[in-house]
Amino acid sequence: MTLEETFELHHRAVFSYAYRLTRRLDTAEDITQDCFLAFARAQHRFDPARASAKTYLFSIAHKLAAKRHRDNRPEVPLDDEVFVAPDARASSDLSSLVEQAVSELPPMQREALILFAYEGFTLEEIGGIVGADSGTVKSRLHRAREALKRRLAPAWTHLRMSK
Amino acid sequence: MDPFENEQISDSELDGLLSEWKIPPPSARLRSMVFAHGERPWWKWIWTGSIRIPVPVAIVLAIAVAFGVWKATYVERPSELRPVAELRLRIIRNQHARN
Repeated sequence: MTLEETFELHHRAVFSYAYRLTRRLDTAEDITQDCFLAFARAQHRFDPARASAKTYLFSIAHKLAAKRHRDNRPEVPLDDEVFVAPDARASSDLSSLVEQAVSELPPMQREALILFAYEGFTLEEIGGIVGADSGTVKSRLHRAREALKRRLAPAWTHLRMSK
Repeated sequence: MDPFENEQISDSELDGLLSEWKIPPPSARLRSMVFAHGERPWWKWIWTGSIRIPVPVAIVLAIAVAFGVWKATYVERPSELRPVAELRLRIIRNQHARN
């Protein structure tokens, strides 16, 4: 498969992953660009028997996003359980509310959730992408979902009562 | 049930809520960002490219270049007092001296 075909097939997914992680259009596009350029340079190292092209691309994107996170916000612990209080005024609609709730998850939990819920990867594939075993990924995912249920419960109740 | 108490969200309801998060599409320039970069002639890299060097390597290279420049431009200054390459002693005996 050529680079162009790989780009056509996967660039939206890589962009979506990068955007949900960073919530910045320009940063997500930079990560997507760097991801495909790195893939083009290291194509000889890609072994289809070990992982799919999509998983390989996402593992590159994961490293690029993690590097940006380290460079920009080194003071934030990656697996911190602290949950920031929501700002209801900033969440004008349901999409923004969910975006804000997901963005306030600790980074490793957020990444596991994004890869599972939005990109459709299995626990094993996520483990391969982020460099963790599937048990750890499962635990992060469970904690992320429980935190989101707590976080979104008031909005969900309000939504149900208004219907 | 207390009407002000928050309802529990089930897994399927959470999935439904998560799907509400809509994101903007990537801009059209993303493709050109990837492929224009890849199709650039190699010789243009000489004018526009950049490389990343670790700081310790850069320091060693800078020291090596500085030493090379110093070595190439160093000229030994001529001096009146120079060490003798070969010492040749000539003993002149006094004619009146006794053996």
